[in-house]
Amino acid sequence: MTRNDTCESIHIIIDDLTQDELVCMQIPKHISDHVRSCVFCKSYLDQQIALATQVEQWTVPEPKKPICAGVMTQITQMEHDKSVDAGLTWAKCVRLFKTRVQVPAAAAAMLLMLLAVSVVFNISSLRRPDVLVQQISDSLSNPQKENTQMVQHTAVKPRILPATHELSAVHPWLSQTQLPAGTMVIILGAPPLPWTESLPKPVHNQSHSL
Amino acid sequence: MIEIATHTIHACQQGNTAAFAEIVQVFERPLFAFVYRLHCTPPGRDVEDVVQEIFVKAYQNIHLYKTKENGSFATWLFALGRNLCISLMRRKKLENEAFCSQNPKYVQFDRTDQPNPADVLADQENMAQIDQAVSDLPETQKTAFVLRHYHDMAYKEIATILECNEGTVRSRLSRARQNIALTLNITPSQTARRTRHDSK
Repeated sequence: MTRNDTCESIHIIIDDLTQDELVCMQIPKHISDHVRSCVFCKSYLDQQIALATQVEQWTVPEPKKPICAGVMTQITQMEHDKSVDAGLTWAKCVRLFKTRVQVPAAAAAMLLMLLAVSVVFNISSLRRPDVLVQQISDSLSNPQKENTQMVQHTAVKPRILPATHELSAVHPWLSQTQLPAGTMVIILGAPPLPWTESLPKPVHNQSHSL
Repeated sequence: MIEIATHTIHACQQGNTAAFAEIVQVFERPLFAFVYRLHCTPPGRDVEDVVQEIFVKAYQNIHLYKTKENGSFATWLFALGRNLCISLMRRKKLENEAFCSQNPKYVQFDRTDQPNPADVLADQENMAQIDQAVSDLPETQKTAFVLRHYHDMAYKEIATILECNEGTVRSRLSRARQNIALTLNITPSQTARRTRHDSK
């Protein structure tokens, strides 16, 4: 008898048998007739049965440690660590929130400081006319001195103005005092209002060139 | 193959540790046997540690398990175990190579050569032979053989675990059986004699 396609298919069926089926020799009935009569298939089946029988003897010892307890301990530890991490995350969030609150607070503080500085500077700049007025008053009380005062402005062009009511209109703070007719006020820089040529000429020609 | 109820898996996916403990109890023995037979335990570590690691990985990744895509839960768990075993086998190989190259007078010892009270049984010699025959197989053949013969898995399930098709599983199993039969010296004539002897 030679090996043919039937033998090939029988071998496939034998290969598909499970370990238990081989060990217990539970051979399907539809191949048993062929196996009995075919030497190749018989030897192949015997080989597989012998292999399965020998392999079956390979037993596994019992675990030395309790696996389930170990796994659950690890998982519990993991969950605990996770919750701790979550707590840390919450703390981080709170800290971040506080920081973010601090940012506008710091910004507000800086703004307040700037405001305070600007107020101080404003006050100091407001005090300037008073000083000038005081100086002018001093010059009035002491006529021996030259009645010429200098007011420094930030603008570029220096101008010589008579201390008239027009000048008072240009610089309102000059109206706080009454300047004598001969007083000349030299303003260095541009006045707050635009200069107009309609100003009257000075009454006295007492002027001091710079 | 062992099956797990869907509601248990859903409970695990929602973080129920008690439900996961049920799964561990069901699978601890089969997974232990699987890892033990694959010989993937690196020196200094027990099989139990590896099995624990597999379960912890399963717990961490259980939300990724989908019945339709991954097949049965057992298949998914064994695939996870196999992947971990492969990485451990690589590490073990590297460690052994490093150790043997540093100490040429030492010979690489196998686990079965070490005295173990559990191994002092009637068929110790035979067991050692099978152990050696299986451990000599390539990883894919070894895994296929172990899953088929010791865990009664279907070709389809083994194919899912090995990430190949059923035809490949069949051929790998066939080659594994041939190799083991050669190592154990199981020839058809011997088989016939043994069968006759057993029947008497």
